Amino acid sequence: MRLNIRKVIGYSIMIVLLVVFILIISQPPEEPSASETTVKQETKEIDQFGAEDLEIENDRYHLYFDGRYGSVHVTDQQTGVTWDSIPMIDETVPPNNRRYMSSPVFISYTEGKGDSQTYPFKEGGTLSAKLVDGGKAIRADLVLGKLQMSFSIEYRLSEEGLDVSIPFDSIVDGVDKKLVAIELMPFFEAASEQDEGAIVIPDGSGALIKFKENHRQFFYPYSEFVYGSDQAYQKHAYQKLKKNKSEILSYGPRENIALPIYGLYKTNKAFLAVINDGDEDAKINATPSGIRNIQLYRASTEFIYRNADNVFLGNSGEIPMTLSKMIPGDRSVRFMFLQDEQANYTGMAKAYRNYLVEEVGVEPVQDQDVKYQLRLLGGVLKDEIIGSTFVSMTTFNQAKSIIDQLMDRGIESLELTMEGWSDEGEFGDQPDHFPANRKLGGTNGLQELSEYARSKGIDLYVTTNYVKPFNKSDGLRKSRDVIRGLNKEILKVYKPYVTTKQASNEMYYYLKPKTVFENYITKEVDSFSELGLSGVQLNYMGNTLYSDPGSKQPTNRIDTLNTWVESMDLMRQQVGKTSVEYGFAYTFGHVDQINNIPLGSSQYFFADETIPFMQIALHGLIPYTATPSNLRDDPRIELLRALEYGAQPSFELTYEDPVLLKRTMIDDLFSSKAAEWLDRSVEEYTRVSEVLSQVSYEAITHHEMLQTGVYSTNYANGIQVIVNYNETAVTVAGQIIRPYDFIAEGGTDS
Amino acid sequence: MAKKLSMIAALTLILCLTPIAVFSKSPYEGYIYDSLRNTPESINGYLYKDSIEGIELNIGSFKEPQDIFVADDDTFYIADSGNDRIVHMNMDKDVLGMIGSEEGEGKLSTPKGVFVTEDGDVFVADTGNQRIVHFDPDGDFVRDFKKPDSSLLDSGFTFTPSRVILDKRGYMFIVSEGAHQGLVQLRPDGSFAGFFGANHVDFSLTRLLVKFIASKEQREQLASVRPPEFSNLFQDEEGFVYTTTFGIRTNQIKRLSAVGVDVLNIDEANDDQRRYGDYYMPIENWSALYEAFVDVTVDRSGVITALDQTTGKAFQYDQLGNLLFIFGGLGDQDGLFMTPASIGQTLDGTMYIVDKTRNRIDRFHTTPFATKVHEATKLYVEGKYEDASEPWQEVIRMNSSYDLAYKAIGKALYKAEHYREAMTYLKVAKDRIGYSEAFVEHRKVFLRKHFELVFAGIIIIYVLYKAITMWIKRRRRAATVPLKLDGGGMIVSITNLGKSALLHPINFFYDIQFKGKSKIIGAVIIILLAVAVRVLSLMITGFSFQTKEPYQISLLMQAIWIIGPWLLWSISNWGVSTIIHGEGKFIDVLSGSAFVFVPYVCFMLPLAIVTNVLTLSENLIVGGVTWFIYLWIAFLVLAKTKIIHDFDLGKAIWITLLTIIGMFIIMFIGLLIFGLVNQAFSFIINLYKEMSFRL
Repeated sequence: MRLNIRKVIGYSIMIVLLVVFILIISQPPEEPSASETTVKQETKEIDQFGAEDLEIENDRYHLYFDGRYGSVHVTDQQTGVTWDSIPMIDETVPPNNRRYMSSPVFISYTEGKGDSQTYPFKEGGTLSAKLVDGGKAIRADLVLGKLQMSFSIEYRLSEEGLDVSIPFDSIVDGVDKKLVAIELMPFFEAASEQDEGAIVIPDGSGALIKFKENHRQFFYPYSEFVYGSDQAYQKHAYQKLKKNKSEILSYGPRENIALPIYGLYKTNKAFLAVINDGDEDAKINATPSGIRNIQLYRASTEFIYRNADNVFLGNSGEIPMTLSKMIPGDRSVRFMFLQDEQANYTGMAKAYRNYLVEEVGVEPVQDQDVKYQLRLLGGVLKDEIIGSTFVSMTTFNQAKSIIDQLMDRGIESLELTMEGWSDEGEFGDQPDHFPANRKLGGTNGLQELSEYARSKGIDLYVTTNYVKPFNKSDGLRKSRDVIRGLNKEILKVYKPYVTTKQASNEMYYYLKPKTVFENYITKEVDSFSELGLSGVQLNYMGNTLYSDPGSKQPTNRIDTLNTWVESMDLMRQQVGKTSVEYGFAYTFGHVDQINNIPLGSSQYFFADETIPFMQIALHGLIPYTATPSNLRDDPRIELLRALEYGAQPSFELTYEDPVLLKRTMIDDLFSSKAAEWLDRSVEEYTRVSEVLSQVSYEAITHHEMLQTGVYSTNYANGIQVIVNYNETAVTVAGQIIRPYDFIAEGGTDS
Repeated sequence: MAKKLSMIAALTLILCLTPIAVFSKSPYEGYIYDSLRNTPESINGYLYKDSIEGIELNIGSFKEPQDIFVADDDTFYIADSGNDRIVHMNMDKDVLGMIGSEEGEGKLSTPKGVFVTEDGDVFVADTGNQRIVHFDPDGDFVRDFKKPDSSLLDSGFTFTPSRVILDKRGYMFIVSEGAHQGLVQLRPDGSFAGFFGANHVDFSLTRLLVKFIASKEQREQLASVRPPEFSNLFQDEEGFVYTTTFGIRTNQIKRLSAVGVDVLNIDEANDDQRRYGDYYMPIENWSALYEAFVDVTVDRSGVITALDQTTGKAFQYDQLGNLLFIFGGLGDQDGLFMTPASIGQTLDGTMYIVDKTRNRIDRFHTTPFATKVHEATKLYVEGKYEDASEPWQEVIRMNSSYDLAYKAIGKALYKAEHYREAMTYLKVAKDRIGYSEAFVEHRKVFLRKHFELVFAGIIIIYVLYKAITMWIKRRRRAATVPLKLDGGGMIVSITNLGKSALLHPINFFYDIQFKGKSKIIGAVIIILLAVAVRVLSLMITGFSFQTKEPYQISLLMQAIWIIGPWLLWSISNWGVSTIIHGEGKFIDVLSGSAFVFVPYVCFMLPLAIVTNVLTLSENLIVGGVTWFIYLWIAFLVLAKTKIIHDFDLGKAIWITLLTIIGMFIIMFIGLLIFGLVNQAFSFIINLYKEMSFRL
């Protein structure tokens, strides 16, 4: 029987397709999307745990562990002041809320389709506690029967107060229900409306939510991610995620959380919580009075174990997807207790500063002289009918001439950062930075500039972008270098239109940290050191953090964080100095300067005041600069703010007129012509540096609002700066301060 | 009865240290529209200052406040609708009085609007009670005005006043909710004085056709199109009434004269239609949202600031309709709103915006940049162009992307007869009309100055022309042989083809039917030349005539504009002709069609060069020549069809029409196939994606 080849092929294809089809049907999907109807069980909520009461103490503090609720009460043995993890609950509070308010933790979990929040008493939770570590710590083991989950919390005392941690190996995940987040001690030192004080939230430079009886209506609490949300998860990166890409809505300008802290202060008593471990995947929650009908102000941290996103697969619509593996690592928070004069936001910021110096080991940056911070833009590409041309805004020679002109005007202390210097300008082929653009002078020209700067004692930095390349960059290999979202596709980042904040066609990628470090950073670091530069600004590393959930080898935010820190250390070692923008806390100790530090908060309407928490913590430790003065909306106010917060003024200039930048991707340099700004900027610099140079190495010891629109900042060497934001003159302690003006007192000049 | 709470208020002020908002980063980015509707970032003109909240003033939180009225003495009245009262305050946040909460005739119910006369009499649109209430300056009830009796009002008319203003005679202009006939006008005695300033329903051909075709029953079911309603009004010092209207996309703000005529939107170039608000609105569910202007305020110099609830932004225009600033937005940060409902301003320029849902009034102050722009625009609008130049120059120094400044300086230079400099500025501002006007004058001056040069130039050109024609005549006499297509090399034959297509089209189309490689190559070259000419002429066209910006020109798109019709036409023509027994081969049709572009190739470029010395007033010449070229091409097309397929004239015309229809059919089918292939493609990709998840 002769076999007809065609028939054979035909039948074998049919069989293969059949097999594949059966395989697809029989394989259960990776993510459990069990939509079983949950049988309504009798939720027997219990009121107490019935665990042992335990005590531990050290030289200063005494901790009492209440086994009924798993709560802790820490007392300062000398003063008798106590900090409680659960509040005194009124008789009138309904039982549901009572159980809610006396929980040691809140747990979020998912069954595949969105998160649910719960507390132990609701899930048949049992708690057992014992002394561990030779009687120095208390370990509370929590078993949540209904969720089939369990984990432990450890409590230790320290010199400053209380350390609380969740060991990762103690976590047993549920089978159908997976752990998403754990919120620790949500009602720690919760304040009533009658208390006097405020919650401190790390929004930008810092903000206060004051305790008030007659308060506005609050609709929702403050709940933000530390170090910004994970940019790989579009649900969090955008305000509204839609299938139609043109409808994706971005957030407007707002601040991020740069410091992993929160706290609150009442009369004579305060605490500051610092996230020790797990800060890269945590949220800070601050809930004002009235939410859920609870008349208390409270703040807490929420550790994230799984992130989730909404994914659009073809025509199937929006599908919620959760990361399958937990984010590993122990989580811990350090509570620092403060009393009397220290019980305010200045005291809390100083406590954080101590933590940075003692615990993290941040050493004060050697060179903190106040300098004229000059930023020059080299150039950028402009699209033409055929191809594109390079618009040269400041060549290296022109940069030299600007330096000369400044020095002629008496500027001795100068720092120059060159932007847009590489081959195709600002949005060129990054992460491939070399050679320097020919029209600007090429790599040789840059080297000459560097030598010239060195001879004049000027620090020369260049900016680099190893994080967020423009999608048309030729310097990267898309499939190898770019991170992927949960849907396993290359993550596309859209720049929003300034009018509607909806996505435009300008697109960027995020680079995989390990890949970019091995393939680009380590390869280019020698070129930077050969140029003889003083330092390198690592763009985005100070204000952007993301994981890589969709690649073949997924990574977490901690991996990205470690790579950023490694890069900073490498540059510091090989080139000299590093600077970053904004300044997330993990950069402290690895950078020599923070540019564009947040000088305000997002001013959410539920917050009351902006405070310079970050500046009190950092001044004298790490120098920081303000947003360029030539790009201010209201120069009078922003100059005062830079002065009030101790930030060095900076100027982003170009040799050519910025009108040449029309139709390029840079549309925000509305006024930068060096010739027009030289005199003005020198005037401002001289005026401001007169004050700031007296305090550049000093810590801020006090800050407060004296009157409406009048603020005072005191430094360790006795100098006091008072600023007046009002349209009218004010009198402070006999001195008149003109409108939009300041005075500096104390120290050698009065 | 007014309650004096100033003592309590003063005490509260001392105890309550409310901070002034100081921004290091405003929650809205400053931007401006340039003349090409791009949105470069700009310096913000207004920044958030602070808020007025009832709770802080110990009068209880405001509840859904809906209107603010700023009186001549810079005190203001807030219609606290949810609390059924009017609150009178001053800029220092002192509460000077409250109206309408006392029992009696003066008790208000959801008052949505308030107006105060020069003498301090307070008129309230007491919406819940469907009346206007008049209080005296002390807050005591004087009288009320209910729905007037009038034969002009039909019984179904509901009088629901939401906003009210009074003119100098004491006549009341009332926005009555749901009234599409216009503003209700009442005389001081309460009698009806007619409707005022109704909006018109635009003419719509579709509606007309539908009405024509639909049966009586169907017509009854159609939603009746009503004129759009007014949302708010404002009166300026001269007695003109500014109105805001919902539901229309242009002229949302009007300035009505005493007889109800809109005197604001006079713009010849745009058909008296001016668009207010963002040009680009947010997209929701694949379609753009509509703006909803809810209030407007006008300052002493005529600067208009209008509030759009859809985007939450305030837009500020000068008297001539030039956009000055945009600020605000929706969000939960100070400086953004949830539901902005009303806007007002005090003499110092501070803006007051009422947020209905957040129950507070937000205040915005001007930046130094705004002060400078206001200074400049005030002089400019008054016609003092020279004086305005200085502040405008300062504006450019502060912000180089503020196009209005360039336009204004250009105009000033024009008035000062510095035409060349004017042209430079107007070019930057992309003001084509202004540029053209300046160019007219500049050209006159230039011609007058360099008359000798120009005259000599003309003579030289004439002499050259004569010489070339004589040379051609001589050469033509030498070549007595009719056009040979096969000899003399490729280039010669192509040039010959081109020449013949130009000068002897009839002969050309006969000759083209012979074999020869040169004709195909010639055809391709002509097409490429046509594309090149098109792109070049777009680039070289004089500024006054330019319709596209260089960066908007895409090489690909322009090529498609030439190649597309050429291919489509050829295919369609050949198809149609073959069916109707034409004799032309496809190759002949293809190459013949290419050569119809020869006049285009020859003359478009010179025409573009010439536009550089012409102005818009000579538009007719340019238009005329362009049309002539197009007609020539059309003639060639017709000739080609007739000759190549050997039709008679009538049939040729008929075939041409059919070919055009054929082109549309081909395009339609092409689109269909494209869509189907796209669907198939995305299906396969999605299948792959889903599989990669489960395996």
